Amino acid sequence: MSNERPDDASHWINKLEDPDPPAAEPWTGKNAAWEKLYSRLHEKPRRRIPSWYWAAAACLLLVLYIPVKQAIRGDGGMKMGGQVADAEDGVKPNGSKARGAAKPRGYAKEERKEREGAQSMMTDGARKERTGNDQELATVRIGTNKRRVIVRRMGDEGEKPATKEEAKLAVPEPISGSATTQETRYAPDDLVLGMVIIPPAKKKLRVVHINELDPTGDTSEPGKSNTGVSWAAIPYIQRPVRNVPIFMGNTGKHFFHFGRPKAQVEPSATAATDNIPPELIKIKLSPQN
Amino acid sequence: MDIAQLVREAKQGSAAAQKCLFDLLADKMLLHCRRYVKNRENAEEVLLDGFYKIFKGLPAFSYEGEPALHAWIKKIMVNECLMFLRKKNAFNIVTESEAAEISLDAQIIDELSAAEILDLLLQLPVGYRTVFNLYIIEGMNHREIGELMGISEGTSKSQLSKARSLLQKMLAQKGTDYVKRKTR
Repeated sequence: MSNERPDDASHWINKLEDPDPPAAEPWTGKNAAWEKLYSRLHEKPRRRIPSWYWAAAACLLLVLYIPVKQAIRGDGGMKMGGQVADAEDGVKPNGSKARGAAKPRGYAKEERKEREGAQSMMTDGARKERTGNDQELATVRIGTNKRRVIVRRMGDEGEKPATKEEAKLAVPEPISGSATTQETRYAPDDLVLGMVIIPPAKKKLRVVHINELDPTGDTSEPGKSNTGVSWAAIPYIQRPVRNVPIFMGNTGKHFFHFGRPKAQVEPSATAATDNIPPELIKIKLSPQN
Repeated sequence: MDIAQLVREAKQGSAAAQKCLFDLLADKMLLHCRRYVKNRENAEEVLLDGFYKIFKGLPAFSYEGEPALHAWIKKIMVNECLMFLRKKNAFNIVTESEAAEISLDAQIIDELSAAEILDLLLQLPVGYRTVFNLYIIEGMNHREIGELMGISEGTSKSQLSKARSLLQKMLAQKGTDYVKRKTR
């Protein structure tokens, strides 16, 4: 078959391209169709909201969220001599200057030194507790951890930032367990002279030699050794361990963990340990226990 | 009103001129759409889409006589119809058999009315009908039809051959009916 049009095409065209369309199905909905088309043609295009609008709205929400959250979290936000709680977030009460502009010159240097340090502390939102020693403990956030620090304030009654020497780090003092937890808030005019991070104290038991223990203590009752270290003997094994292997090392003789054969005991130590029954092990008790 | 004047005013956005153009061309274009789209409601939807594109593209159109305007509008309508059929996945044509030359009886065609011929065309399957319309009425060659419909040139030829064969049968039936009608 060729691509040329066949002869019969003209007949079809003559019939189908008739200027008078077949009246078998008159189009009654012509006006309705025009109305539909007209509304489509003249409808106003919907204004597309630009993306920067959404970004700005998100920023605004974020800016509003922080002070609202602070206000909800700290109900004592209106304390500290009438300072508004918003001052904590870097907004000055008069609203004209930045937060750092309100600080005295002496402090600015110290603060810069602190900032140059390895640690960056977020003191915003810190909560302070007043102790019995006229000191304040503050909980600050360092990264994801929270630490309690001692904070001395300038501007309190009788204290003035006279010299740079006075503006040194405060010496950490043990945190009293009976510190009252009166929560106050920072205001921008509060001058923090120094902060010292007090790591939580680890409970460490002192290692004592067995000779330091009381040689006469052969009971299971807690007692005190010559050096004043508390100890208690607890029954551990019912049967004395005999003929256990002896481990030799570079540092000398090492005995099995639960006991030592009598033949290997040195004569000087024998006198101290003769009275201890073989089925008992003495352990030292710390003063806290 | 002169059609050139109508086009000029419609270009400037005159709703009245656009309405006049629509009234002038809608019936003919609906018939044109119905040759491709069997369902009347669908054909009307396609017609509205086509006119929407015509009025939106009219400012870019340079009027060079009535035949050029008709050809432009017809082309838009055919494209809309093909797009509609493609969306409906109507061109599901996989057969590609040997195309045979089949000629239709021209005398019977002449004796039938336009409505009867349209009715015959609408009885064809969509693939046959589309290829027949594009080849016979629009005057496209098989390569162009293949590109438009996404089929091969051979398939287009095969579809046309089958369309002709089917139409011949229908026309023969119509012819006998016509002869019967005449002899009564």
